[in-house]
Amino acid sequence: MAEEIDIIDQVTQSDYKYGFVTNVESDNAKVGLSEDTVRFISAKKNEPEWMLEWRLKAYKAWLQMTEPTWPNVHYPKIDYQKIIYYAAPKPKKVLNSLDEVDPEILETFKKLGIPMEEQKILAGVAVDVVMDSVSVKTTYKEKLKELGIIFCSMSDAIKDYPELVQKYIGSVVPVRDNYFAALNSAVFSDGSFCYIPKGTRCPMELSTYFRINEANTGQFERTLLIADEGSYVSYLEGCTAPMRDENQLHAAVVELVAMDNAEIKYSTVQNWYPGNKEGKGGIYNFVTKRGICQGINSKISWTQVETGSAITWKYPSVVLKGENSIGEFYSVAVTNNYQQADTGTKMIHIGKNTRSRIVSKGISAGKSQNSYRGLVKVNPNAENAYNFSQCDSLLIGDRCGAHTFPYLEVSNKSAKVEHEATTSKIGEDILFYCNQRGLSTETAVQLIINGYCKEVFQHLPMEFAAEAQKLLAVSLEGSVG
Amino acid sequence: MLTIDNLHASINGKEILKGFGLEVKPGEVHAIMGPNGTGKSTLANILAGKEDYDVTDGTVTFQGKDLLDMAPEERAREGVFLAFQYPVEIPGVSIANFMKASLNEVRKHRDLQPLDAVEFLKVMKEKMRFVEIDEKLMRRAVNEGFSGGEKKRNEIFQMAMLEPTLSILDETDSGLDIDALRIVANGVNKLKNENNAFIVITHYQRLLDYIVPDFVHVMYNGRIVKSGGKELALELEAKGYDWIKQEVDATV
Amino acid sequence: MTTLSETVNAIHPTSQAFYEQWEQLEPTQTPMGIARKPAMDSFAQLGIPTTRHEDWKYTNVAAQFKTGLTDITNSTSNEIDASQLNLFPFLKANRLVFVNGHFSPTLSDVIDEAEGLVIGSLAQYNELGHMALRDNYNSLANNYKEAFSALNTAFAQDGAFIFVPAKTEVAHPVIILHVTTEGSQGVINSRSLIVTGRSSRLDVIESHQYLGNDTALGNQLLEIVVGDNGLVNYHKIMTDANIGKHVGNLVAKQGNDSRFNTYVVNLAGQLVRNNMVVDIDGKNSEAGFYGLYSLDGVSQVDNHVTVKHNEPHCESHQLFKGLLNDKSTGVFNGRIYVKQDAQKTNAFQSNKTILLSEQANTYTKPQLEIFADDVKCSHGATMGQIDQTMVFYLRARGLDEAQARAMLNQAFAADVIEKISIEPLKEWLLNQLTQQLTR
Repeated sequence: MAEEIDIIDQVTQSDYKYGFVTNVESDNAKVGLSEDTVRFISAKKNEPEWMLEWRLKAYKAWLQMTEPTWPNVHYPKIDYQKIIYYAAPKPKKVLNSLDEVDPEILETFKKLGIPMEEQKILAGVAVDVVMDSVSVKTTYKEKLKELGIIFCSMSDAIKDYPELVQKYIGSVVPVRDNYFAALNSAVFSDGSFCYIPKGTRCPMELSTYFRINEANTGQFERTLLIADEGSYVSYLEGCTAPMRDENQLHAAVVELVAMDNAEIKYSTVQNWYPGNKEGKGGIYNFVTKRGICQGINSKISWTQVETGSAITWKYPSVVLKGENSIGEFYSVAVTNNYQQADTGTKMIHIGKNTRSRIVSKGISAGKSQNSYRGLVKVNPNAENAYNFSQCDSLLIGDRCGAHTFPYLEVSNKSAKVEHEATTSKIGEDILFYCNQRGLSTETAVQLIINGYCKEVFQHLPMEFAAEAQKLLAVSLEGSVG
Repeated sequence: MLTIDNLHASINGKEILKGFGLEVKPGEVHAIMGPNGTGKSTLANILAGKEDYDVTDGTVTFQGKDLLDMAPEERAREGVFLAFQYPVEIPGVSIANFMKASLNEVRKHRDLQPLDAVEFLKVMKEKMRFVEIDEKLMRRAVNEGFSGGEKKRNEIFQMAMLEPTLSILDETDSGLDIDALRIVANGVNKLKNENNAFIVITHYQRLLDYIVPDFVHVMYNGRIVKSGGKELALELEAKGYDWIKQEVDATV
Repeated sequence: MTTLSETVNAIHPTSQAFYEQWEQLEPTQTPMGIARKPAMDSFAQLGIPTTRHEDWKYTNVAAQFKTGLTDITNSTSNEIDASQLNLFPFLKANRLVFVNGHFSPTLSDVIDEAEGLVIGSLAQYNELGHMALRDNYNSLANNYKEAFSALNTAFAQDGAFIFVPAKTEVAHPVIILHVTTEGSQGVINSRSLIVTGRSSRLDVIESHQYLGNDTALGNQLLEIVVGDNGLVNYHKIMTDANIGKHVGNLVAKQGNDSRFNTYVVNLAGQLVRNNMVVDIDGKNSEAGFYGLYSLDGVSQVDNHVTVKHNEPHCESHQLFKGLLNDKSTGVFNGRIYVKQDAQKTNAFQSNKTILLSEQANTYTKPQLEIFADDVKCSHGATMGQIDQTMVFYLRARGLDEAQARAMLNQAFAADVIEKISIEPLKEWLLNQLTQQLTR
């Protein structure tokens, strides 16, 4: 038994490889949250009046709301007055090319392995890099513009496309949707905006990289993505944060809108700092992501690989309003050491013949707790709605926990809802079995994890899948016996 | 090939093997029988290198090398194969992937080139036919959702793939119906040659109607208390173990 | 004169009439005779369960007893003409036929012989005092506090007794045919016992046939003891018209390295309750439960399965499928119990139902009770209608709607029958299913 714990410890103890701090001067808001903070942020960003009004409305709503306690996660109470709500790197001058970007930032990107260099651009990756909430540089913008595709920072979108932003912001995730969504609506600093015009197939993967750099800062980015009739887009999002002892808050909102016959594929690799081996520090990742299949035959597909954050509270959802629309959710969530995750999805069937599919793979190691929480709701008018859910949990060692909370609410008789759940464990016996066939413990663990997550990885864009696989290996590294 | 001398081993301070000795030569089949809890599976696990046990005394020499000194995967690469009593399920790993990784590790150890996908599939299909395993199983995760019989046949399939020098079958026949038992036994009989050897641990004499052992050993209380030919197994099936226990206990 | 034990304070109202009848039975010192009294005590307390009883929530068996049913096992004629029966002529098999709870030597036929092998009447071997019967009779049912089992033990006179000695493989299946005849009023109790030895094999096909329109309620209890390293395949077939009222209890126990499979196919039945309780008492054993209920009219079939994993390294599978037409009702209640010591248990349970009509009902209650930590258990339930797009697809290929539906229903249901390993039986059942679905 002692041996098993040793092996498991080795498997589950490895260091966060992205925990370096970039020394860039920062232009911060004052600590704490008040109406003044909201006004400061809005002013700092030269926002129009309607935006400020919207923010203030959200702030007032937030004041009346209380933090949710139903997730299966535990953390000390957050003091919202100790957080800095805005931190922008001080721009030295207006940037025209990559060469002009602060070399230290570029170095950071290099360490992150962000696909920013020439070869990556040639590979067809346009990157909107958001560092501490402000978009630093957007590549390939011009190329996209030719197709009528808008891909820019949220700040620019508010300035340049106010009517689109005004129409859609808060339309999928209303200001009062939940505590963290309200907070985000009040203080969001930046994020990405994307509009794909009618009948356009976005020729490249759009990509954003988020990174929290400043100590004590919260990151509140806001993403809005609209796919007009008959369009297609695949969007990638990656996140990392430096190693700090304090907990940092990340409360993002992502809204997706798919019109008739449109398809949005949204992939996330989330690798926020998870805290150290004793559970100190790490990101609180309280995110609201929701898409609406507004039009007929539309499709929204969420794929996520979640390995980071001290606490994750996240349920990428799809509202299936258009007839024949499809919602998908593919997820790998890894928790290690003292990480806690309460994540899953919601599929809300409103339209006829709507279909959804949920594939969730949870991996718990160390002393972590990993919960799947999912809702499948079939409204009375959703004739012939169909859902299939598969929720698998993999336990590594015997000090971690996996929990499954599926909610199935069906109000239409013709609906078909299927749910499957399994729990397996990688214990000493499995590793010994592999050893007996000549495999080292490290090879065995890698073989198992990759096999287990295959079904989700195959929904990621190619190069992301490779990255995700590496990330998983790093997260669970140390298996060499 | 294998010399076990005065082997003592314990788990959590409790002694299970108490001076076990056995000599296995190439080309031989040894059957080990005995009542429950006499250390048969412990012996198999210790030979394969399971680390729960403390070897307190004695030696195990395999082809001139100290077996006890090697990690489990080294023993496997050296040619020791254990067909597990309870083959575990490995979630997410197909048998094909598993065996490819395994076989190539073993080949590397023997200074052979790794097999590419095409060559590997060819070998795999041939060996699958050999143990009458449905090809559909190969795409499923190792042992996952397999029936008991399929799991045991899968063990024999892996044995056929890895071509070990010494195979230890730990109750591979338990819970098999007569058809599956024949398949397992045929597999062993086909693999048997003058260079390899088998230790067959079993509870039921029925298996030995199909795999004819050169020696039958009765294990009791952590060591071999009686050895004989295949007729000993029949005697045990008919009379049970009480007479052996009495004989042993009387001489103590 | 026998009296109830002092510990029994009050007799349940529904037990009163049975109690008076039971007092008239001739006491004997055989295994069956000895078991009667404690069983009657137990039944006197339990009474016939009503729908308030959690296990009988969806099956109102108590309504059958309102008219004051009594035991008629001892008073019904046992004469019958073989031409009225389905004796499964397409199978080469051993046949044991019981008419209204009594062995019929003329209709029965045993073809397999082996040293020590017994395929015969329980009453006969009870009188002879067969060792395996002595050791095992009521040993499982006794621990199972259930009203119909107690009633059965108190009254049953006969049924099948099969003993398979060690290392014996019974070459042909044993068909146990229970016939309940027309005009009977009351409850017919029949009782069977199967004991198999180490490394043996047995295939059993149990068929219940009801002749006439107003038949008795058949209450049957079967105990099966599966020996170490042994294999028993048990099939329970009900394919007659929707007239049978039947409560069947199967109580089984498995040894080490054993396999036990049950296949329960109901293509008919007015009111059918199948209880199955299996204790896996040995390591490295497997149990499989496969059920199909394809129903029409007002028939109701209620399957209750309890698997108790008491030892480590065992595996169980439950797959029950229902196809419910007209006003029929299907109930599935599956319970997996994993004892604390039963580590490395794999247990799976699945119930799938297709409703073919607006008035059909389905009730499903899957339960997991797990006290060990290193186990793999899963359960799933689906209910719904046939996928319209599939029907449309087939119609687009030229089938009419009825054909298309029949084909899809057949495919859905055949899945369970396909698991049966006796080929001629499988073929026959698939054929019966096709006939039913194309009616």
